Amino acid sequence: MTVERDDNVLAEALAARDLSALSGLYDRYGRVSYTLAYRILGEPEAAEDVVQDAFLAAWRGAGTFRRERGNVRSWLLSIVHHRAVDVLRRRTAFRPAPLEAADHTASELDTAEEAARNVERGSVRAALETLPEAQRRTIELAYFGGYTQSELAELMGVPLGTVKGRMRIGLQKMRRVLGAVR
Amino acid sequence: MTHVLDDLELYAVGALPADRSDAVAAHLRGCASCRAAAGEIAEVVAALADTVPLREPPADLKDRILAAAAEDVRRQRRAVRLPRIPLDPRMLAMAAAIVLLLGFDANQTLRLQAVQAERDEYERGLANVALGGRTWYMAGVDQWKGSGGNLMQPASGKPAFVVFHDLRPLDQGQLYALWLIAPDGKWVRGASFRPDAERIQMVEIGQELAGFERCAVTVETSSTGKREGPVVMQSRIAPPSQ
Repeated sequence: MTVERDDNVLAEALAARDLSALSGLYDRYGRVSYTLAYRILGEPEAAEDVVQDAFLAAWRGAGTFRRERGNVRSWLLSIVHHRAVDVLRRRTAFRPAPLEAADHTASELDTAEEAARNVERGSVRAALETLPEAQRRTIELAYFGGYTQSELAELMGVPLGTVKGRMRIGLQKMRRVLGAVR
Repeated sequence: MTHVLDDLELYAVGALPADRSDAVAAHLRGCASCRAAAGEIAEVVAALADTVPLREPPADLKDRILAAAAEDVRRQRRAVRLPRIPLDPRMLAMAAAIVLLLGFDANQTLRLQAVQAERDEYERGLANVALGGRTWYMAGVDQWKGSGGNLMQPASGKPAFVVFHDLRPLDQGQLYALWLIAPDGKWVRGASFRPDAERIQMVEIGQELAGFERCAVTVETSSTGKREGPVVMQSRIAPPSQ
């Protein structure tokens, strides 16, 4: 896969302290990183801080990237997610609602790569929508709402084992669906 | 070895309690099969970001990130250019402080002394903090361009501190004051200090970061009282640790 190979080249250059690699990484994943941070935190300044923090952490810790633990995109987004949830959990007031309706309109400036990415985004949304409501909510509340397993159990009025089961089965189904369309 | 496959989904979405999450992370470091499974799950979880309508980040965010990274490189290069000097008591004291703050083990301490390259070690120590804790870079303004400081919040819950570099000397009777600024605009003094003529200077903060959203350095004439002098560097800090 070209994108993945390019990403691996970027990661190697990043570990070699090449600023152009950081620039390339931001061009590729800055927008989705900001989107994710904003979705979790609900306000722009906090999302900016998290993205800046995450890219600098990636820059400083690029040597810790291991391909066998996921691709560059999932590595970077996991840093963004971890930091955003960390910030969210220090707050008490804001917890975002489950996923809003998500219809992205491709901009006129979309490149061919972005157009392909948009198709993939549509596939991911479709995959999530195929899940039963309880599984989808469990995944969304954990990932975007920063809820822990025990908070989820309490919120949804189910045992911990049910939370774990919904999460596992839901993500396995998504993986199968995404595997089929990619 | 007990595998952690049952926990990998909750681990990937960040829903495990901290102690369990740490245990899973420790297991993954030593178990290739669980690591492979975790990698596959991580890619599915990362795809969840694609279910959200895309938002454009501010146009200058990329420039800010690249500027902070470039500053990293400059500092590293400056550190490399420094001559190898015999350990002096002040540098040893600073290295010891870092050892305490970061929890280096005895072997690392010995290595620190053995390589006679305390400043390089010091940079690596900062990188360790950056990986486990939080850092915010304060860049100098006006005449203080070229000066700066990293506000460090170690992950371990140890006290926050600032590592300044290239602090300008001050006139007699002047000192630097480090401030933490609350969302309501209240300035709380975290430290007062004189530059010590070393290129790198560490200053501990006698104040919790909790409840503050910005930090700043001013030049003052008193080690107590309200802020009166000019701001010479500042940074926004993310919502602080509890």
